[in-house]
Order: sequence, then C-alpha cells, then structure tokens
Amino acid sequence: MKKLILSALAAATLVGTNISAVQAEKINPWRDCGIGALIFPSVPAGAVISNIIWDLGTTAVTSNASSPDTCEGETVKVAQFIQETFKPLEEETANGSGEHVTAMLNILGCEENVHNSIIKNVRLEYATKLESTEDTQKPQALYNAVIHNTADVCSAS
Amino acid sequence: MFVFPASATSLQENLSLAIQTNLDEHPYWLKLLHYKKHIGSTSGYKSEVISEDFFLSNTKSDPLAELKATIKSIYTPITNPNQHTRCKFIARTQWLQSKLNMELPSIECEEFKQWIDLENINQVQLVFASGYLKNPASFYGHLLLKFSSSSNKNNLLDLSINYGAMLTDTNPILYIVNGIFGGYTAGFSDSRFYRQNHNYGQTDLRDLWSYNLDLSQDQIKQIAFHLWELLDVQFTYYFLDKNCAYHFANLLALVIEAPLTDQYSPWVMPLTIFQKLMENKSKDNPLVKSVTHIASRQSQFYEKYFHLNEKQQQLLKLLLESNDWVSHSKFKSLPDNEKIALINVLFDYIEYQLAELGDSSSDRVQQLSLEKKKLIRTRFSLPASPAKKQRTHLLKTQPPHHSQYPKLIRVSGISSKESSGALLQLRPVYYDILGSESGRMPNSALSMADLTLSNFNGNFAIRRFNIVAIESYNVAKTELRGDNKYAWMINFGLDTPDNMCFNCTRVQLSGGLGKSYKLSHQHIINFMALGSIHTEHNNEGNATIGGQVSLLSKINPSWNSLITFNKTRTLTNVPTSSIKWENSFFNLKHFDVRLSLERNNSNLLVTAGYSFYF
Repeated sequence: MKKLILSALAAATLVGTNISAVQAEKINPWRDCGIGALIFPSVPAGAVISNIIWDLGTTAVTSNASSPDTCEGETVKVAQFIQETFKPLEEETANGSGEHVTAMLNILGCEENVHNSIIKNVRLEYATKLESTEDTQKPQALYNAVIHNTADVCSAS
Repeated sequence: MFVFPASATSLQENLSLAIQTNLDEHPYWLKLLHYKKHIGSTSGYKSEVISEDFFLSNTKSDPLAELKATIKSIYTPITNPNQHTRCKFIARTQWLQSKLNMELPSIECEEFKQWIDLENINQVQLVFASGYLKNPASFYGHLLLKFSSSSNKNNLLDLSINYGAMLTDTNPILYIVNGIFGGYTAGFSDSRFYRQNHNYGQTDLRDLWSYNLDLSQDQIKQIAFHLWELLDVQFTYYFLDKNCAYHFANLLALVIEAPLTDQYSPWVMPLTIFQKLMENKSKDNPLVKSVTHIASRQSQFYEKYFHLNEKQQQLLKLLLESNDWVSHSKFKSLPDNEKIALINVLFDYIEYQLAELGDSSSDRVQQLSLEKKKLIRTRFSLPASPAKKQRTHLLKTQPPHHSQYPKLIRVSGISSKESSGALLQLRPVYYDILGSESGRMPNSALSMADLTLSNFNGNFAIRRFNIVAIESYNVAKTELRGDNKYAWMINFGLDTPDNMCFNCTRVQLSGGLGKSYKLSHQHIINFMALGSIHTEHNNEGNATIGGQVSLLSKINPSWNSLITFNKTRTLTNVPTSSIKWENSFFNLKHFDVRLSLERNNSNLLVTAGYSFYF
C-alpha cells in the first residue's frame, strides 16, 4: 500500500526526470495509466472513457505500478492533477494565472520566471482546441498544450 | 552499500538497559504503539491498532514483548533498507536510539524520503473542515493535517493526511449502525492537498480553516516519522469517540503535552481539538502561530459578488434571469475589465450551483454547463489578467475556535401566574440558533440527546428530550436565482405539547419546510409549514399541522433574539397558538444568559437561565 501511495505522490517531490516531448508523445496517461487500462487493455477508446467516468487518481496510477517506466514521473502526475482539478484549472488558464496554474507548473519543475510565458502559450494553444474538443476530452487537450509548451523549458530539479 | 555486522554485545546491552529503565512503560512508547489500558490483558494494555504487521512481537497487548522485538529487529542485518524495521518504523527507532546507546550502521530510507521532503518542510497545519448538514457523519466537521513549507505560498501540493473509515456499503442505516458500533475499519491516508481542497471546498462547499502549529523541526519530524508508520495501519472506527479528532489528537500528543481532548468525555469532537489548541500553551508560547481561512467555492462566490458595485450586481441578476448571458447586449457593451470581473463571479456562481444540484441531469444543470462553456470561450477571447490580489474579506467569517463549547448545562427558573419551578437542560452537542455561530453553518441549530428536566413543587419530570433536532434557515445572501434555498427543520424525541402542563410528555416526530428572507443586516424572517406525528395527549389525535413565523435578530454580538409565532391544529381540530420571545445575552465561549417570555394560549410563562458551555 505504501508503495502504491508513493507512486501516486512522487509527483510533487520534483526529483529526477526531464520532461521530454518524446516521452510525452509515448505516454497517454488517460489511456495507458488509468483504471481503464486494466478494464479494457486492448480497447484504448474504452480505457479513456472508463478513466474519465471513474478516476485518474491514486488507484489509476497504482494499477500500473508494475510499469514504472511509463506511468511514473511528472507527466503522469500533472495529468492526474489536471484531471482532478480541471474546472478551476481551466478557469485560471483562461485568466492567465492562479494557484492551480502555479501548482501545475510546479509539478513540472518550471521556474517561476517562465510561468507567465508558458501560460501565455498554453492559453493560446488550448483556446484553439476549445470549439472542436468534446467536454470529456478537454483535460487531455489542456494536458497536451501544457506538455507541448513546457518540454523545452521545464525540468524537475 | 557496505553493511556492518550487528553487534551482539550492543544488542544485549541495550535490551538490558531498555528493560532496566522500564522503557516499555514510558508514555512515549505507549503512544507510539497506541496502547491503551485494558482490563482483560495480562500486561494491562492493549493496542488500538488492529493490523497484525504493525507488531513485531506477534501480540497487540504486551508493550515489553514489543519493545524487545523492536530492539532485536533494529539490529537485524540490512538486506532491503526500505523493508527494514529502521525504515518501516522510523519513529520507534529514533526514539529508542535517543534512549539507548545504539551503535548502528548507516541506512538510507529512500521510500520515506520520497514520501516527504523533510529538508524543506517547516510547518504542520491542522485543518478543520466545517460541518456539513447533508451527511450525518459530517455534522460536526472533520480534521486533516498537512505539511508545508513557509517559503511556498501555494499549498495545493502540500502533503496532506486524512483519517477516515473505509466504507463497505452505502445503505444509510448500515452506515450509521456500523459507524457508531465499530463495524468499519479506519486508517490514515495521504494525498496532495489539492484533492482535499477539491473534495471539501469545491464539491461539498465546506470552508476550511488551517491552524499553523508552532512546532520545532524536531517535533515536525516526530509527527512525520510516526505517520509513516501508520499509513498501512488499520484501527476500528467508532464515530463518537475513536474518530478523526481522536486519532489526530493522539498523533499530536507525541509532541504537545497539553491534552487536546476531554479525558472523561464519551465522545470526541473536531471542534474541541481546535479550541484546546488555542487555549493551551507550550512554555508560555501559543501552540498556534496563525489561522488561515480557505474559502469554499460558495464562499468565494459571495466574496467576489459583494466586491461588485451595485450596478454590476444588478446586471448579474439580469443576466441570470436570461439565456445566453455572454450574448446579452448589456454584457457585450461592458469594457473588458468589467466583463472579466463578471465572468469570474459567474464561474464561482455556476460551480456553486452545480455542486448544490449534484449529479442530476436536469435542465438547470444543462443550462449552467452550457453557459459555463460560453463563459470560458469568452474569457479566452479577452486579455489575460494578472494574478488576483489579496482581497479584503467582506463576509467576516469567524474561525471555529471562537464558537461556544459544544456541551451545555443550563439551569433556569420558570414562572407563570399559577406556579413556578426550575429547569435543568443537559445537551451533549452542539448548538442552537441563538448561540454564537463561528465556524458553523449560519442561522442553523443542531443538537442531539438534548434533555430538559423540570421541577415543580418538588416533582421532577422530563419536559423535553430531543434525540435529534436540526434546523436550517438557509438564508439567501444574494437575490440571485438559485441562491435561495428552502428552510427546513426536523425534530425527533419527547416534547410537552402544552408548556403549562408539567408532566405530560409525548413521543413526536416533526418536520418543517419554508423560506427565510433577510430583512436587514441584523434581521431574518422565516416562514415555515409544520407537521408532526405524535403519541396521543388529551384525546387530541396523533398528528398536528400548522405553521410558524419567526424573526431572528442579531442585535449585537452580545444579544441575539428570536420571536416565534406558532399556530397549529390537531387532526381532531384542536387549535393551539403560542408566541415566544427568546433572548441570548453575552454569548461567550463558556456561558450565556437566556431570557424568554412565552404566551401559550392564555398563559404567560417567563424563563430565565444561566448556560455553562464546556
């Protein structure tokens, strides 16, 4: 159990991994690291639905504890954060700042002096997806915009 | 890593020293193992922990055997550091090292280090989640603990600790029975604070109060070490006395000498812990450095709404009564900064309303969700704004420790034209509508096992016994759609139908539904339809219906007043009416003075009482 909790919580320890665009492309935390991945291992679309209905919480990360290379690290943690706090986070992203935005960038190890420029770019990119994205897919769209715009400027330290 | 062989001499010496110095009877050791005095145990103790693997001696009731087993285990060779006793039971190991002469090889507890970054943590906060009338288990509030760094103002990623029952059913009857009589196991769990903030503040709309404890770095470490030991551990859950408040008080007792619970009370309430923390000191220093309010989404909405000027408030009201808010001509004509201000109030309004409406798929939910989407799009089309500045708090919410103590003894004299006597009221929990309302749902009452005895001419009788009595005026703070909920009350127990009858109690279940309106900053009027079923009294039947009008006035902090006009009729058509004026004076934490006048049909009754809260 402790191990399971650890895997869910290592997010904010901010130790270790560089966030690379390559890694981000490889992992879809919603599809690969959630409850749905266990329930629908061969049907990625089903996995996505299941995760969004239920949770992308501790249990979700736990279920993939045997795959530490893919489902640990800051990208999964930030996906979890986005999924769980999406409503205030989306509002703050629209405003361009806020405590959830700051916490999200802290998970990714972004220095404070680059927060404004990152969120400016995230804001622009995510806004273009709003019209065409289903509500259930919006956390992933925000996640993609965040990962895309932090890949070269943030690292856990 | 090179591992030194364990020193047999050192082990034997330390075992002897531990036994000679009676470390097994040391209060700290008893606390770490959660031993409590137990008559049925040969040692006189039994641990409250029910998990087998918390004990190295294979017994839960022998502090000495556990001490010996722990010392021996500390000396075992290190093969897997994270699974070694020194990493699994860090608090025990550290304490024994401080008491004995242990020469031990170095060890790195990597999992513990990943769990908590003690290098950067220098604060522990105890968090009170205010009471929640939608769930009986949450009436009395809840407790959390979190670790934070004074250099980090963003607390969402703080490591937070919760204590709760592990629920196995959703049947409400089983839920209550298992909760009270030990049908659930419980334990500590950990998560980042954003999850607690979301669950309590966004979903349940409960305000949080964070009490920053004045602890040394060593004390913070002791708490962290012991929590690490407890994360996999299970206890038996008892709602009344072995609940979150009890276990967090036990945890803090490792480093705080002052008692945080009432030793002889059969129940432990979260509020009591905070009141004790504020009252007690450690070496003449307060135990709490500061108290911070973390507003729920509903409170955030009110705060922002009352910062709007009158014209903006009127526009907001107009928008909410229309469809397609962002297309409204008056909204479109606003300058950007005013649009942004309104949108942010509307974000909070919508989420507050959605939280109230729950998971329903009603038209209202769909409409609000649609408006939210449009608002988000509109907000993205406007310029980004800088981070919000600290706002002045217009709502003046008081922290929970300012409230009156939950247990009450009230002695009153009562007099009418015909006779006079005395009343004794005993209420184990919690508050009535005239009491101070710090940290509580405003304009509400919640009491359980509330007994009033009378003595007239030497004859004792039960005058009233409320097993459960809850009342909520639910006063709207704004005139906005959806911010005006029903007032309601429910009461089950014994009552006296005629206040001039001194020995005629009956069993009754009553309820009421109505509306409340704010007349001014100080005055609230409430209209409520009433209905009750009850045992028969004077051949008046088993059911009564009626209504009441109440005027609640908070004249000043030392004087609250409630005037109630009540008119009812039994199903056998027997009418009754009464008018009652109740007053509460002083409203201090430990006492108040009550004075009431009541005209019941044609009789006038005067009551004056002194209340002691503890």
